[in-house]
Amino acid sequence: MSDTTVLEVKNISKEFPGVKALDNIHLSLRKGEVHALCGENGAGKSTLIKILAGTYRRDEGEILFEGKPVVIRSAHESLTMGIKVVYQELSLIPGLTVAENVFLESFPLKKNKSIDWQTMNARTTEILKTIGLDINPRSLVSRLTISQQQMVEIGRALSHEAKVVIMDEPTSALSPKEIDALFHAIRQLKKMGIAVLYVTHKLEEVFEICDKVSVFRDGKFISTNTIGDTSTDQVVTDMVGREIKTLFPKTNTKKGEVILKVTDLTTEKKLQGVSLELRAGEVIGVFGLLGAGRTELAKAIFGLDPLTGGEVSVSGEKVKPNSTAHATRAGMGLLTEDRKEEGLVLQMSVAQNMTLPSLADFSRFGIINRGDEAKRSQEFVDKISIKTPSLKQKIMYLSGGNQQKVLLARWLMKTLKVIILDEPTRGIDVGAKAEIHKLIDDLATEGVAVLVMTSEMPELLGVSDHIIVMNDGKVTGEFQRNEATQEKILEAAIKQ
Amino acid sequence: MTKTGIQKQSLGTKLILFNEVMLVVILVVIAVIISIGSPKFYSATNLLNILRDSSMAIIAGIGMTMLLITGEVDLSIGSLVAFVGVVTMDVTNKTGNFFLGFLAGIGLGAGVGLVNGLVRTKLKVNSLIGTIAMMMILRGGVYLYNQAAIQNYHQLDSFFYFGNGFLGPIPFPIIVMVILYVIFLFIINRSVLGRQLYATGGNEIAAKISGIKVDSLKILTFMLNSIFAAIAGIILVTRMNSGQPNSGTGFELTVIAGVILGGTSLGGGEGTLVGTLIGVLILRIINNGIIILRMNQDWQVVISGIVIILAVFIDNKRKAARARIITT
Repeated sequence: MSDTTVLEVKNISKEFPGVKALDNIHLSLRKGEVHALCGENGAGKSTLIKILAGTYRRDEGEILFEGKPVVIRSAHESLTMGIKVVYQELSLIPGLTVAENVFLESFPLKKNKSIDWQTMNARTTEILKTIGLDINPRSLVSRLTISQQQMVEIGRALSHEAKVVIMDEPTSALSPKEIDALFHAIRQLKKMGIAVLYVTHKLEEVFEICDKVSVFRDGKFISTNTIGDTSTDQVVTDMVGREIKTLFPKTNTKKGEVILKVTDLTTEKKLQGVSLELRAGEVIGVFGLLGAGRTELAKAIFGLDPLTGGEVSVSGEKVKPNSTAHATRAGMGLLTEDRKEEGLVLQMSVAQNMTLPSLADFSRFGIINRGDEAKRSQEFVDKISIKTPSLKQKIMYLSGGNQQKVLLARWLMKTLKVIILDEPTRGIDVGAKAEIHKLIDDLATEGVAVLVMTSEMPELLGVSDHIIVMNDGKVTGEFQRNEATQEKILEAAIKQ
Repeated sequence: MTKTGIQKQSLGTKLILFNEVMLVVILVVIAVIISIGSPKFYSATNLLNILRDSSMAIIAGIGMTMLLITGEVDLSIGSLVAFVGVVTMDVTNKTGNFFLGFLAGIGLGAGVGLVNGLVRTKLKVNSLIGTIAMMMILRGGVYLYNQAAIQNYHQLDSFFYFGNGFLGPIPFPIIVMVILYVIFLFIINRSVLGRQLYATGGNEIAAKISGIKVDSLKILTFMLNSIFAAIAGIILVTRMNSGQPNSGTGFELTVIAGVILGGTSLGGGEGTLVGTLIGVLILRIINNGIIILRMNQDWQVVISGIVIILAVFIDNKRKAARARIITT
């Protein structure tokens, strides 16, 4: 490697329980280079960023910074070494001024150890001007736009004389004009000889601003190419180019009449007029990259997020907006993406978690018949083989896959018309995954209308009859099972 | 392939996880210490006295336990006790009918609970803040209602009996307490309502997704809690034989202390009525001990404070022990 290489990672691996997040990754950044890092969700981009930022520790491999092997143990070490990460969620302190944020880690001091405000404000103005932001250093950060805040973050990198700036999806919240301003700033960084690692899934940006592009897929390194030697098609192929193994043979079910009808659903947070129709026995897969609005759609349909427009009906009957109680009565069930925060009641037992929506079925005059409850729970523990020492075991002691099965059993126990599954197999091991895919298939066979939100391509192609692709709160593509390919789906998902 | 994550737990860990066992041990140790100092402690009269004095805090503790299980709290019950006492006495005086006075007191409780619940669920004011405000409103309100104490002008036997009477050898307030306790022990442990309280406090979003009307449930619990406090207030006014606007000061703290000591978590989703019973009794026995050992009575409040810190400390230890089991 030439002496202009600033940062090099070699053979880095990182494993979490059940998943190999990074498997033998390589990447090298040169001075003054803007290097794009692309990959689908779960490709390992965020894990690598977190290792470089000192949040995670690598399991194996080596990090070379300016040619010397280093160990990054904390965010502070990462920053003082010269690596600055600008996250999607900015890490500024809103109640402090621009200058205070820029110099947060090391305020310039006078001889008597008091803060040298004059120098600090002057230097802030100077630093921010170099990246094209003309702003009063005494303004409060809370008054700035997202785009300006991002510039302040970059300014913070400069105040530390960072040699590497990592940007994680920097344009996701910016307008086209603001993106231009950001690109101007990136070009300035380039001139100063700073290496920029630009993490994104927006390919047109890659081709506009970057010199090189590396692709990860499923935690593995796939390719690094100079921009001139590659094309959008090539990068897409690298991102998705996996063999789809048929883990789950899909039954060809008979489709009945339309059960769930969603018309023009709009929410304040994300959705901009989403419509869909789901038939009995049909599985619709909803795909989208991070921030596309999948989870928001699931929650809006179920009445968890307030609607600003549109309506949901089940079997022709309108569902009251913002009422989960009415949604469950209408025959809907929802498995949320975030198992721990939004699904499990951790202090409760396996059986208690399972029967929560169907307590009325085993109770008379409001008193639970615990014998019936146990019998019915045991039935499902056996049927979908939930591994638990007893029904009374607290759910927090179960593995992720078994917790997920309990949450599914919660809805299998009821006679459902519609089930919405948001990332049903996230964070669970391969065996349990296949079992859950089989359950989805069984549900469809029984005539339940199934909506699966997923960011995993093999899962999407495996379980769906029909595929809807979302981006930025809108539907950007629809495909029948037989016409869907990974390339077409990804193209629709990154379409602006 | 999948691990269930169950480990053999040491005996010590098991004991610390079983909060009630720990509490009974503490209760016994305190009782033994006091009885060494004064043999009078074990007399039937003294034990019944302790129970009678505890009955108000235990009755209010039933509601408070349910409220804390849903993840909410109510600091206004001390002021409510005073207001209910004054109103009950006043209405009984004016109508010459204790039943009407009783209903007025309970009605006031239900109304205050409804307001507390609406403030929490509709105005989204954190219940700690909302009920401190209610505490101020009620304390000021009772003085606006009547500046001085309202004396007993009716001299009704039924009124006197409610707080001071005996059924056989047992004081009547204890009977009231036991009946409510048994009913609600059953409701909390066996009913759909009880299960929904735990689910709501344990994970509100999960509860909502399961179709539970979380807001209605919380309003109902606030109302039940205030009604229980009103019953305690009525017992208190019949025992004092006058409706005093300055009564009930610090009552909410005694009740919450007992409930927390009994292992109910401030975070919601956890707690038992058995724990509450023992928790309140521990505090009351300490108070009783201070009296019969002829210590300065100001120690009662100081020791209650220390006990609360110890209780939360033990609770944290318990949670940490549990977390270790999960992660290993």
